[in-house]
Amino acid sequence: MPPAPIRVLIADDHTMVRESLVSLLRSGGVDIVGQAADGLDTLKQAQALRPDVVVTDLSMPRLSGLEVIRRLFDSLPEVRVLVLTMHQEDEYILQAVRAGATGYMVKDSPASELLAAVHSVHTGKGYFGPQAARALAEQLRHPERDLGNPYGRLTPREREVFHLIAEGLTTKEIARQLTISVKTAENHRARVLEKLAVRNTAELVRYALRKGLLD
Amino acid sequence: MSEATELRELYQQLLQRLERNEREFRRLGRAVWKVQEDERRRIARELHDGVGQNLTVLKHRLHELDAALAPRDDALRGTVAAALALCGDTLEDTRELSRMLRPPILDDLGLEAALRWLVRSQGQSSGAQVTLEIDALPPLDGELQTLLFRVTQEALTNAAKHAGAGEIQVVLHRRGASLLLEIFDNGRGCDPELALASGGNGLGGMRERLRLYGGQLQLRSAVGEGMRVSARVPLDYT
Repeated sequence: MPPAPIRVLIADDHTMVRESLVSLLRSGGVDIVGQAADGLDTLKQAQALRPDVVVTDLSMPRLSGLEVIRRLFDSLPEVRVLVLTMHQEDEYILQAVRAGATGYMVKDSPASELLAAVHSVHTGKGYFGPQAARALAEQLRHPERDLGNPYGRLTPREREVFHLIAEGLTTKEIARQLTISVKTAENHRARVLEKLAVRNTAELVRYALRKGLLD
Repeated sequence: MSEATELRELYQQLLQRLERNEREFRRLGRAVWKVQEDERRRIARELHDGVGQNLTVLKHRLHELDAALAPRDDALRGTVAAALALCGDTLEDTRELSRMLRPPILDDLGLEAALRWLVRSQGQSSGAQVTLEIDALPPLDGELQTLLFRVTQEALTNAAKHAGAGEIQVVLHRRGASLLLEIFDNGRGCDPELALASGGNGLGGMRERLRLYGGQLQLRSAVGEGMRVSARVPLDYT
């Protein structure tokens, strides 16, 4: 018996684009179980239909695609999400992957690539177009540019101070250890707290524990 | 009431009226600028989502046509390939036009993501090494985000294109109840007075816009010694 066709829900607010995608995927043997034109409807249909793959745009009315991915990832983790968008900028790619997307490609890719992506995402392998793969590799090489990572924004000196505070050293002890003045150590400490948006040492230690930054 | 008291009161009233007028003038100035940015946003969206999406569908159709061609149809395959290439280029031009007007990333993902994109794309197109240092910022309304983005954009264009800088550093920090945006470059430098004398979209125009938000723009430069652009703007500008 041949394997059951992949069940796909398509979310895109542009009717013509959606219809075009439906026809491309259907001709490739994919079962289109639902179509949604906004974010909230996408979530509703995903809950009701339990598709294998949701192919979604990022810019949609009523709820952005990024929020749709986040909520799908929380409530239906077995459903894979393939982002199909006009946006090529690294920032969109990183945020989509962080939200839980398994694949990312641009809308004008050829049908063969789109089909390959749906199959790959379905088996849990992920699929990233050339631009997306490059952005992800770049992020791995330079994790300090991470948008949602305040620790990555600390300067090398501030990171030293961060770890010394987390180890329980007082400002005076930090100054001695780094051979800087107490005033400078105080300034570094204030900047670290400000950048991490924590109020005191206890919160800083909690932050470090949560992010796995302590040995 | 003595004549002196009466004069003092009149003077106070006059001052208050002046301050009211000044506030009203700023509010109107901000409103005009907001209308302009809203219009840019609308056209940029229309290009990106309207024209761009139609071109996407057209590209899908051409791909289908290409796939349906018989193996021997070499001549037609060449024509379809040329049409696909033209369609792809037009789609890229449309995206570029949209970004030039107002990058959708600013409204979709906010100031920090937009600045990271700006710094990277400016570095790629000019060949300069552009870095960004940014604090965790408090929530900013759309107008402040737009203002800071436009000042950075103008300063980067200036540094990379006009001053020929090889290294540019963008720093955005919170300083108490204000934000401080600084752009340092190692370019040719220029006469700050002349740079500020230009109206419209140049640095002079940026200084006027910052004033509408209670902010200030300072330029420090000497010929051959690069330039430092400092913009300070209060978080509560109303």
